[in-house]
Amino acid sequence: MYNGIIFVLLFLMFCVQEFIPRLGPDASYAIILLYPVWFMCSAVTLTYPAMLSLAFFAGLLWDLRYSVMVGVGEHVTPDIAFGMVKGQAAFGMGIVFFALMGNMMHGVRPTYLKNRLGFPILLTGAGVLGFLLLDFLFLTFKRGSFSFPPILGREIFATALISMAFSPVFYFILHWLHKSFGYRTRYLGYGG
Amino acid sequence: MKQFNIIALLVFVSALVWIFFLSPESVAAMRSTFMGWFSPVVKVAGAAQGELIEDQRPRGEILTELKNLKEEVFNLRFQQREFAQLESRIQELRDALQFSQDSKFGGTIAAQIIKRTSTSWWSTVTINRGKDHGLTKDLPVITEDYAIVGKVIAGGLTDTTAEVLLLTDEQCRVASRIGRSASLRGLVHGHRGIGNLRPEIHLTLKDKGVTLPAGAVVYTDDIGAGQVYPPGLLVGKVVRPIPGENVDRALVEPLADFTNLKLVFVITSTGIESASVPPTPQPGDRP
Repeated sequence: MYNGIIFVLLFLMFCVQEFIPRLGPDASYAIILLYPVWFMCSAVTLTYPAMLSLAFFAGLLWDLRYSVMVGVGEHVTPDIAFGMVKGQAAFGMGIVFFALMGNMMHGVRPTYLKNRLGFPILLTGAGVLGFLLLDFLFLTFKRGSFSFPPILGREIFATALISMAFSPVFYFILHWLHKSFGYRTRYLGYGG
Repeated sequence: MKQFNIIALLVFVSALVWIFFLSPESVAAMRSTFMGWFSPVVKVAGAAQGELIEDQRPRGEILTELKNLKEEVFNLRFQQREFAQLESRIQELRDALQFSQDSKFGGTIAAQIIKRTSTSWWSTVTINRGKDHGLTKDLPVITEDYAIVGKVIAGGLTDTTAEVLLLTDEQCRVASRIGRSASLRGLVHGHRGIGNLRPEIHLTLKDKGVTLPAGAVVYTDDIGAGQVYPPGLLVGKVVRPIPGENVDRALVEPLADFTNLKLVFVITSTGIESASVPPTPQPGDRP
């Protein structure tokens, strides 16, 4: 039951994400990424197979919404005309990124179980930062040339920082859900 | 590691491999279906974001506007009766306007931008026209001034909405020529990742060592049958050249105002032969 609620709330967060506009220049045009933050916070509480399922679901939704298919069709694009065909962002990489974040968060379960939330919260911020950097660097790798303007670095850092600020609220909600559904997060050592 | 966890990991990896080996067409179809199902949320979110921006104004200003709008509604209701009499005349004018549009392109569809994507490295917008209105992938999108906005992308096309990849995106590449000269040719493309923040585009010239005058107008080029953009559309104005090691590049200011873009036109049919170039529009022309 608890796992089902987590999946439903993740989808709800995916819809909410759609309503969040980009912040202004004072906040370096940051985006509040509630969706990945909710995923990471819930990943700590789930068992390993459930976390993997959640990562697959989260990554698939992310890719379906945000991966763009360019050049699929029969038209002669300028790329072809100028011999400059470059790779697309691979569909499915979102799932890999979410699985990486989930595995990372799963590693701090002992800290979470001791109610020491400082490290999981910091790791959530680091996770968002890593997710955005990986996503952008993978795109860069596929396109073959490196470019990383400073404005982008500021945007990524601000996004991670502001998004991280929401994780304590999410941990509180998860704690409340634990109580409501009688769910017990257990740590079973290396195999848990 | 427990056996159950290993099985879960194997299932996960198998599913991931299956996803990676999907053909681009299957992915585009999958995404199109998902977007069709998810588009109501996108529409509501777009509308809500518009409301949020409005609500940031002071209360007094909103009340004044409300008063003015009420007066305007009264006047409009009065005028509506007169307009009813002029309906037949308007229809004639519409036909004339349609004729005017058809004279340049085989067909255009006006569309409103309902959502700007902010949670992605891609520069895209969602418009309120889709498959039901005759839109297909790769159709060019322009402003009323004949300036290029972008193109409709596969996967983002639903029955009632379509996703447009903007010119400011790195992957939206447009074969271009500079000024009226057919000898100066290049490829226009946006920036990686920051197309949403800074509406600038780059022009990579085909030949090296060419001098580009600042302010020169960049048009779409004719690259043969089946090309996405009809030749002769406005792309932008050269701001300054950027000399590179292997290629010459220039910073180009797009002629479409991407920050205030609301209404766009999708060219559903160019109505021209591929080899012929239509009369070149000038900045300020309207279809």
